Amino acid sequence: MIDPAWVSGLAAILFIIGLWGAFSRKNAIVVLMCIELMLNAVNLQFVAAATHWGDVTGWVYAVFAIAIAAAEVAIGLAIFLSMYGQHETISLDEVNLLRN
Amino acid sequence: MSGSEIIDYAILIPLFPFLAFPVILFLGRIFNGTPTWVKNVKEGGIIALTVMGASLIMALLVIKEHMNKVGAADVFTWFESSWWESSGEITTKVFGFGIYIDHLTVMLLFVAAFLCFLINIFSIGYMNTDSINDNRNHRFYAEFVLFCSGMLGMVLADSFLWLFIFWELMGLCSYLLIGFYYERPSAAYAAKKAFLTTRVGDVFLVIGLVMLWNMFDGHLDYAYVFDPENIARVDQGELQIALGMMFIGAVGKSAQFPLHVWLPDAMEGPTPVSALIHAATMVNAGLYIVARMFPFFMEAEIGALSTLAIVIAIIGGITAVMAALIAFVQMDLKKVLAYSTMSQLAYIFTGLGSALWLANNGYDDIAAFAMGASLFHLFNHAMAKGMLFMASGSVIHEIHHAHHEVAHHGHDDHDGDHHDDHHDDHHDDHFDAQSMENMGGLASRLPITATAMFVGSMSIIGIPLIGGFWSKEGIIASAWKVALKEPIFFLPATLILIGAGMTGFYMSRMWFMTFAGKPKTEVAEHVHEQTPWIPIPLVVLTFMTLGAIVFAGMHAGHWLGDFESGHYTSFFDGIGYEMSHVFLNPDLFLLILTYVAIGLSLVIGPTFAMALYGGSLDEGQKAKPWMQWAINLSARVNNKSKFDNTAWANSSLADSLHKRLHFDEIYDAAIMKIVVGFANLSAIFDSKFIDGFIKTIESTSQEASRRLRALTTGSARDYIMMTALGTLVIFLLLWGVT
Amino acid sequence: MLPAACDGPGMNCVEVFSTDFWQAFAPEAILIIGLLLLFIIPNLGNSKFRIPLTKTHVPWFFGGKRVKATGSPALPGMLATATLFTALGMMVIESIDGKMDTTTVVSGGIIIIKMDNFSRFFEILFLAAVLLASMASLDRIPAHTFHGKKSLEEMYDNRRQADFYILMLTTAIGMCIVALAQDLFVLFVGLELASLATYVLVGFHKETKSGAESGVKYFIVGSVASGVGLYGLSLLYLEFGTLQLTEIAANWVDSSILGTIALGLVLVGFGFKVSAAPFHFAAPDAYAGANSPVAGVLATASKAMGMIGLIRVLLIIALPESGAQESAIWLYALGTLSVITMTWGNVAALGSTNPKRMLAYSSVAHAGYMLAALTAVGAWKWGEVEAPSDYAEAIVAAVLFHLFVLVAFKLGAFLVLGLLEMEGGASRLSALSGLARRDPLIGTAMFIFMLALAGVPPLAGFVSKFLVVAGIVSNSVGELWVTTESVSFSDIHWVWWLALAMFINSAISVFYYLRIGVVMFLDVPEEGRRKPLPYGASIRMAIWICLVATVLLGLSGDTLIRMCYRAAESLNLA
Repeated sequence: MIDPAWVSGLAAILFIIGLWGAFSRKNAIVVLMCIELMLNAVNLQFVAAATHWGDVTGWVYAVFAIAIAAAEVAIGLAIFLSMYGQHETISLDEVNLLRN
Repeated sequence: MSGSEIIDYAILIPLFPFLAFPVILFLGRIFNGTPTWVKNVKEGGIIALTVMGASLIMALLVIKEHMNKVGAADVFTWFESSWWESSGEITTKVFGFGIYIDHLTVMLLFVAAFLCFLINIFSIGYMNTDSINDNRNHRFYAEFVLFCSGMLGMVLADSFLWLFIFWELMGLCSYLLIGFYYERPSAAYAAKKAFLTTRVGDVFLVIGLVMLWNMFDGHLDYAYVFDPENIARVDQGELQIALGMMFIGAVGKSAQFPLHVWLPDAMEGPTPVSALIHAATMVNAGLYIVARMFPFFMEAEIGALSTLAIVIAIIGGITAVMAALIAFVQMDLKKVLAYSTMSQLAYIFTGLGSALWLANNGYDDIAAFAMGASLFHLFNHAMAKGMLFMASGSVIHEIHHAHHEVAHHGHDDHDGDHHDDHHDDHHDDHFDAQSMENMGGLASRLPITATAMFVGSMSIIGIPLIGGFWSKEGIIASAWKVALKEPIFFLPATLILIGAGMTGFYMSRMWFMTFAGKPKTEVAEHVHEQTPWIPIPLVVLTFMTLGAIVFAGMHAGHWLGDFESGHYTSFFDGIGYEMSHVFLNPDLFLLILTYVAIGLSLVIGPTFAMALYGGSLDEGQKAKPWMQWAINLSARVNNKSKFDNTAWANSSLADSLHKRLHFDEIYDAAIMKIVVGFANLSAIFDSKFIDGFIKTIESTSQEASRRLRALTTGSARDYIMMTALGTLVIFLLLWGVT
Repeated sequence: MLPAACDGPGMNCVEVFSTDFWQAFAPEAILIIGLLLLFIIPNLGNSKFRIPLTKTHVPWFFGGKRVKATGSPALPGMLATATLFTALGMMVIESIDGKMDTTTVVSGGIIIIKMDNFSRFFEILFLAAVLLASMASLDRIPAHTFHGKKSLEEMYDNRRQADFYILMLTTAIGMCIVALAQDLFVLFVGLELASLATYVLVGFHKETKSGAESGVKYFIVGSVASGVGLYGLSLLYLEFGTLQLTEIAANWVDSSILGTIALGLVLVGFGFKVSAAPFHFAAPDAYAGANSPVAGVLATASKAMGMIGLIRVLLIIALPESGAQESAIWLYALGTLSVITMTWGNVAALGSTNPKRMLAYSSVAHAGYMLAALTAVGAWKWGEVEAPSDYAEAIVAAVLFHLFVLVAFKLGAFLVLGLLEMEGGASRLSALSGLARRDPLIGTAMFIFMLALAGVPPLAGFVSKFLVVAGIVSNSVGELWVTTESVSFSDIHWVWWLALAMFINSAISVFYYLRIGVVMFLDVPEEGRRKPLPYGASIRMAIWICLVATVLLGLSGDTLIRMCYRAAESLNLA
């Protein structure tokens, strides 16, 4: 068995990559992917912790987190569709009518 | 000490007029213009008359009640309030209003109530027959009764605080009444000037009152303040300063130098106002407050308050001569009387100054004599001056009517009330109804008025046996007596002696220009007496002035000054005593003095006047016998004299006098420089600093808001970056703790 | 088997999905049933379902040509409003006199949810806000039921009635779960449920550019934040092996590094929901692009949801024991955050010319005030006061009261803006011009809402702000005034300065609240808005309810304050 500590480390790295990508990418879909990356990191972390503590509820949390992530993606894509319909672009830099 | 029944109701004396004020105002606004209101109630005049009559009767009853007493003041307190004590005493009477009656109160109460009543009668005749006043007389009568309540209240009050309160009430009414014709810029200006000038005096009065309050442990009521023990405990130097401050207030109110500038302009008000306020009552307020200071001078340390007394006398002396000089060149009838008032009040101040000096230096008997003379002169002057103003009002009134008859070919009386229907008076021509240049020869045409003015002038001049003579001699004598003891008093004493002669001149000049000689204009030829209301008070006061001899016989002078004495029971004894005392005085110095004064005022002054302005009447005109001899005398003197005053009339002194000795110009310049300059500075400060401060706050906050909101760039990436930044900040702060 | 928390009077432990459970869970169950009905009823039709490989058509009533009775586009709104109203009514009746039982729902040793005064209080708050928004939406997104030609927009509106109300109910359910949760993950699930529905609601008007844009921004930033928060939860799980509130609270030590990191990350997640300072950037855009009732829900109920999270994490988990000498570890972080938040919100609102953005910044400021209050709780002079829990309860009760009355006037203000949106938009300040003349009642109501937001007595806003400030001050002074002769600034905890900052910020805020009043009363209505306001019975009734609540709660909010106190007590802070 892999030492859960490594998995936690991986999760941390994934999380940081995801966070960095979220604020540095212009493409909305890519940002969504980075958010997914963060949520996957969370999943990994839950799993690692569950293994560490030997507690089955951790696995339950992980499954729930997958479901939530999926729902979020669905909604996100729908919202991006409507943005594209209106603004004809999915570049987050060009969508800034609302400001100040 | 509560008195008997009458005194209990003394509060009604000022209360009646005070309550009548809103009643007249209110009813006037409702019923304005309705015939009953105009004809029967005389637009509130009858209401005012009733009320003043009631006050007069009450006052007489109170006086009668008090006359039987020989003794100190009656004090009756109406309400006490006890919220001022910081030492825990409950009997503090600082805000209580009480009645204080002594001889001084009695005299002024009589003067005020009597004159208010008579002038009320006069006003009904004067104001209601002049159509310029139509439909606004209710305002006049309302302000009139308010003023009367102020005067009566001031006279009856038992503390300096209430004196001050009513003092201010009178100042307000004076402003309202002088500016009665407020649509005229000159009247508005005059009202403002009067108010502001007396205000300057009032500032000092308040300072003096506060100092007194401080010195006397929070008491301003006479009972406490006049107590010899309390006076002895107080710092005498501070007392002198406090009383000096109050004196400055009196100077403002009584139009003495240097705060005298408002009185001539105040003639802009209707004549009854001039009669009441500026001759008979309000200007006496200043005298009253100085007279009230008498116990201070009596009980204080010997010589501690002498300086103040000297100052009072000197101011009196200066004003007397100055006012008389300016009166020499006046052409306006009322202005002559105004300056005469100023001058006579100055006399009284001099007399008071002498009395106070004597009291302070231990000469109690002479002090009482001097005090009595001053107060008696106040009485005589009030009666005479009131009458003179009313008479002048009568003259002006009739000249006015005559002018309209002449100018508009008369007889446009369409509503049958025997008065011309004036519809647009005072606007068309520049005929000055008040100028003596338009008069002359009126003695035969206005007999009652002429008599009144004749008697009044004689009283003011001090013709022996009539009116002011008895008191003026007393003042001059007192002043010289003090001068013998205190050399500096020679100045005021000499000044009033010279002033006596000057008084003789200008009063005679006034009478002869108006009533003797030939009419100078066609208008003057058409003058005749009209309404009945006007002559009544004139007649009454004429007899009053003539009857001053009776009062003198009753030792009014002594009685007024000395609170302990009674009065002689035998009238003729009293007369005999007085006559001998005046004309055959055992003291040689005083004897010479008396005759010099009589000579100046009776002989020299009027002779010069007759020489210049005398003259016989028109062909076929005859005045009443008691005046005719004077007119004949004046005609003879005029014909015989070669006295030519053109050099005097064109001199630079005359020019200065025309400009009232430049006081107005000096004051104007000072105000422009100081007050206006300061006002401009304040305006700059306000707009630059205070407004600027607010504007800076506004612009800074708007700018800050704009910059802060600019951080919300609208780009989602930036938002996420900020989120990450925030995470970092939170970590740092969390770690900073551990 | 049952956890220790189940013992005691008035405590009720039920197994999940047992009969007792359904009794206690009834209001929420009604919400869920309503949601399901909203799915089903509008779609009842005559469609048939063909069994595969046969030719038999079984009537499957879902879909096809809609049944006349249930196909009315006005139905979803009515249904949703009725459901919310019923659930709210049941909760109010149950808990208003404070005699409700605390029901803990357990499943195999783990406490999932607990119905106590605290959770019921918040559920009432959420349902009230969503109910008022629903009522307003009946007019804001009206169902056009007349027969005849409809415009494109009207058809749009009819088609998406059900969608809107489903989303509203989902938000309500999610928020109720957040209130009830006793396990951090359950809380998070509820949070996500509500958030996802809210993202869609913000971007609901996809026919407008601003609607679409605001939805995107809110979604992205919100997802990042909740991702961060979830990661923090996972770290917490790693540290403690459980996400049960009571267990973590029992095992918390200030010195654990992982715990502190986790705390920071969780703060970010909840900070976004509460719109605290560096996380609030998407809020003004979201409020501006969403329609006003939804923005109102965001401003009041969503914020309260975030507050629950903060209270649970900061006050229950991470608070030192009473008697300890240090203050909470998160004290400085939260203090700084609160000052930045309130200042930023107020200064930004000063110059804002869009009323919805201005209200957004103002709710940022209000969040700052509440964060200050929470900071004060963490500043107890532990060990120096007799009954520290009294002080803590006072502040928490004040925060709860403030959250509740915000529903009354902030939601009310948004509803008035909604009324203006119905006739053509409320994005410029000039939309409010002359409102008082056009419709005096609405103008006055708006003005009263503004006054309440500013904290003018005797309205509810004053009472709530006063309670908060009083709580902070008394917490910072503690019982010094009993023990020492004179108290100087060096003796008082620095949290006192937060109260001063709150005071000054309130003063600054009066400007932009009153500016609305000036515009309403003194300006001339702009072009195209000279007619009276649209009729809208339902939205006007909602505004009226808010107005009455604002005034009444200010004059005599005793019942509510007592409820808040009971709620705070049931937290068992110390």
